[in-house]
Formats: sequence, structure tokens, C-alpha cells
Amino acid sequence: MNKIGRKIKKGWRAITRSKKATIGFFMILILILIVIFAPWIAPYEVDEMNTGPVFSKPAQQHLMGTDHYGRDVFSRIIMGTRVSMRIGVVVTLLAVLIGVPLGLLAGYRNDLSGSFIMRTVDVMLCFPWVMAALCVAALIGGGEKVIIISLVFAYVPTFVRLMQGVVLSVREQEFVGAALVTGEKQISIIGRYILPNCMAPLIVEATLVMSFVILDEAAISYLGVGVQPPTPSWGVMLNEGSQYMWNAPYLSIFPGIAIALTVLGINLFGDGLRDILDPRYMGGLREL
Amino acid sequence: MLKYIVRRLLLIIPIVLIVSILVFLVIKMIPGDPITIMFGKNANAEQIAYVKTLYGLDKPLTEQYFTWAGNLLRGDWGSSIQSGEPVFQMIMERMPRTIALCFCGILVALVISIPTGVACARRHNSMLDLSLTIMNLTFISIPGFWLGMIFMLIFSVKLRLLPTSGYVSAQESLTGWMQCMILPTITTAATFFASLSRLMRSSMLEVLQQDYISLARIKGNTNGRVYYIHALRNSLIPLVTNIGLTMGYLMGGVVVIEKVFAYPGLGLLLINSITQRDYPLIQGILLIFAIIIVVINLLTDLAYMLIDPKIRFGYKKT
Repeated sequence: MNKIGRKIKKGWRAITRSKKATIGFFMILILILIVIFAPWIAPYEVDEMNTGPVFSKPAQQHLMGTDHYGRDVFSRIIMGTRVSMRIGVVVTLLAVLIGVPLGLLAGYRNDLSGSFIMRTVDVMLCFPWVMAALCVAALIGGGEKVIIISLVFAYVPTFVRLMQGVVLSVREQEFVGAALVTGEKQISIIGRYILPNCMAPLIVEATLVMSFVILDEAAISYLGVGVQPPTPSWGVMLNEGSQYMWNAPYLSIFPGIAIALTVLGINLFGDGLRDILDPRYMGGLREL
Repeated sequence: MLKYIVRRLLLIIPIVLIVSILVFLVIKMIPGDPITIMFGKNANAEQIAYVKTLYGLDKPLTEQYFTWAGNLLRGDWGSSIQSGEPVFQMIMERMPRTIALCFCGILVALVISIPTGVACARRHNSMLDLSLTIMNLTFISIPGFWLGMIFMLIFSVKLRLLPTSGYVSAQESLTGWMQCMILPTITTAATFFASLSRLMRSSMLEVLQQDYISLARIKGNTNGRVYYIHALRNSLIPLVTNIGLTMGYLMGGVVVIEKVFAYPGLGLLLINSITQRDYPLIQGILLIFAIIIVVINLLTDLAYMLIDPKIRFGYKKT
């Protein structure tokens, strides 16, 4: 217990070194709290119609107004946090789980299999996956699963490239050579020496990818082919709101702010982490 | 250098080949019969059989691919199921508009991001640096299409300065064209300049620590000359790479921006063809987007040579 406590303390001290990371950390913390307690924060049921007059402007009773069905926009935005964060986390995790082993292999094995992986990645990077996601989602009826699968395809190459680059540089370090000489198995070298040294850039990249995924999901859902209504995705809300831009602009404004704040929190955290873990970017962190 | 260019050009062939297979498969892998999706469940067997033979859908998959790819090479990209127009012609009609939008967007983004990036690096850790950094992060976090909606709300709905949507071609009226380009261009630039500016800042900071910069200073160059002549060129390399790498992402963003402003480019055509389930058109547009990305990656590589003499001369020797 003591050991864990010390680790948390150490991590906290590292985070507070960067103002960006600290602010981002608190923003993400608030987001997580919203995700957990969403049903208790939202004053109305998410699909409850006629909670008030249709298109009522933001006021005390409806903090962000009501939409064309008289649903409470604030409640829908709060519940929408769950959708965005769920897709963001699941896509990033899957992309990491697929991309990291491939990248490790490509970087560690400088032979045919390695170059095969990298050439495949080159081709995948040329392919407009977000557009493909759009097509597939539209043609088979959209929904969360399709979006998740297509976005995973879109972001796996990012992690493969990143890991390959990092492994190539770590592999040349003396401690890897030493482990090889002592006769350790390759798999244990990768697991014990190479992977831990790749963690820093990986965590940074994962947070940044997560913010991109949330933006992509919003865009695809905005186009009407992603998450399907009545699920309260922010993209869906923007899509519905854009039709009433003239008389109820707040319907388009609030979901956008929610997306921007979420992504900003994640970006601040990721960016701050990069400053902490890679002092080159900050230039001022000599004590590390 | 010529050898390098030729080799780089030859490398495009396998990439385009594989990408074309991917495009073909993405459409084929969609569960369900495209014809039943197209006609609904009421189509009779005769109709289905007729359309199947018409589009060659009754043949094995490999044969279908080779026929499709062969026709592509001959310039026959099929015809739209909805309008009957040739796909290639439809794409070529819209493509210049999308390219114009991307080009203007990138240009505006560069015009903003290079000076701001250099300014941040110059006054590193100052108030200016901090505020520009925060501004950049904010712009990176805002969904581009939403920004477009907000711009439209302010400039078109409230202030009535610019048209809300639509398109006037440059031949028809140059001022009309410029007016309807302003908002989409600014929106595209806004989604892009922040990441470029950040990159410019970090790569400039890195370059400024190198010895040759100190030498340039010792030789008595003015600050402006050191930053804009000596340092800028080397710090542009990561920027160029980034433009190449994020092109796919930018294109995806442009699709949505075109939808927001009803700008009749490839993106809007793609979205419309998706809603109308126009398979030949969808395939064609996906392929052309992929080809555009491949070509831009090629141009990026060639641009390196212009910027970095090390690469240029390195290839001269071999």
C-alpha cells in the first residue's frame, strides 16, 4: 500500500510540474466524474420529450434550452459525455492493443516481416479511413460498432509508426545489447527492456489520438451516419441543431462547446505530459 | 536527383494498386446485397438479374476487380447509378473546387502559422508565447465543422456580410466566388494552422540551439536574418512532413466543411452519393481521394529536396 501511495505521490509531483498537465488533469477528472454521475447530474431523462416548451431559450429551468422535441439540452449534453468518452477510450485502447505489438515487431525485427508491416502501414496511411468509415457506416446503417471499427483502422498505423521509431532507437542502447549477451530470450527483452522505455511517447500519443477520435466521431455523427439518434451523441445534437440555426442557435453552440472543452482537457493533459516526459519540447525543464 | 524522383514515382504504382484493392473491398465487404439495398425489397428477380449482369456483379470477385481496374485505367470509371453521368467526369468537375479549397486553406494556415510559430520561438516562455500556445491548443480542440457553423452564424446570419452557403464559379463572377470561398477557406485554415504553428515553434526552438545559428549571430547577422533566412529553412522540414502526413486528415475535415457550407466539391458529392447509395460514384471518389493523398505525399518528398540541400546532394552522389 505504501509503495502504491509513494508512486501516486511521485506521479502527482510530475504532473504538477507542468501547468498544462495540471489543468488538463483536473478537466479530465471533472469529465470522468460527469461520466460516472451523469444520470444524477442531468435534471431530466435524456429522451424525455416536452420537459418544457419547444425551443425555449436557455433559462434557469433549462440551463441550455430545449430542442425541437422539448428535450432538455443540458441533460442530453451531460449524457452525451458518456457516448463520446466511451468511443474515445475504446478506439484508442483497441488501436494501442493492435498497433503496439505490430510496431514492436516491425522495429525489433529488421527483416522481411518488419518491412512488410511498415509498407502496409505506409499504404494504410494513404487511405482515407475516415471517409471509408463514413461510407461503411452509411451503407450498413451506422451505429457505434461500425464507427469504432473504422476508426481503429484509421489509428492503428499511427501507433505502429510511433512504436517502430522508438524501438529502433531503444534497440541500439547498451542495456539491450547486454541483455542479449546474457542470453535472455527475445520476448523477454522486448517485454522487460524495450517496452517500458517506449511507454512515455506511447502514453502521450494515446491521449492525443483519443482527442482526435472524439473529434472524428462528432464529425461522422454530424453527417448523420454515425451514432444514431436518439442516442445523445454531441455530433448528432449538432446535426439536429444545425437545422434550426436561424431561430435556435444555442442548439448548435452548446454541444460544440462540450466537444471543445473535452478535447481541450485531453489535449492539455497530453501536451503537458509530453513536456514532462520529453524536456526537449519545453526547453526550460533542466532539473529533470 | 533524377534517379530519386524516378524511383519515388515508380513506388506510387504498387501503393495505388493496393489502395485500389482496398477501395474495391471496402464497398464489397459491406454486408447485404447492394442491389437489394438500392432497389429495396420490392425488386423482382428479373430486375435484379438484369442489373447484376449490367454491372458485372454476377462474376467472381477477382474478375470483378480486374474488370473494374482495367476500366479505370482506360478512363472508364463507370457511370453514376442515380444520374447516369460518367463518374470520372463528375469527379473531374468537382475536384478543382476541393483542391482550390484545400490549397487556399493551407496557404492561409501557413501565412498565419509560420510567423506565429517563429514569434513563439523567438520570445520563448514569454507572455506572447504562452497566449499563442493556449490559442493554438484551443483551436486544435475545436471541431472544424462546428467552427464553420459558428462563423456562418456570425458573418452570414447575424451580420449578413457573406452568403450562408452555395457556390458561384469564378468565371461567372469573381467577387461572388471570393465571397463564397472566404468562410470555407477560413474554416479549413482554422482547423489546420494551430498544429502547424505548434510544430513550427518546436522545430524552430530545436534549430535555434544548433551551432550554425550561433555562428550566424557571431558573423553579425541581424536577428531577423538569423531567424528568417538561417533558421527558418531547416525548421520548415518537419512542417512539410506534417502537411504531407496530415493531408488525409485534412481531406476528411474538408468533406465535413463542404457539407456545412454546401460547397459543391468532392466531399459534398461523396456525402450525397452515400445517401443515395451510388456505389460506382462512392468507389470513384474514395479512390480519387486516396490518389490525391498519395500524390501529395510524393510532392512532400520532392519538396524536401528543394528545402534541404543535404537530401538533394545526398542523392546526387549515389
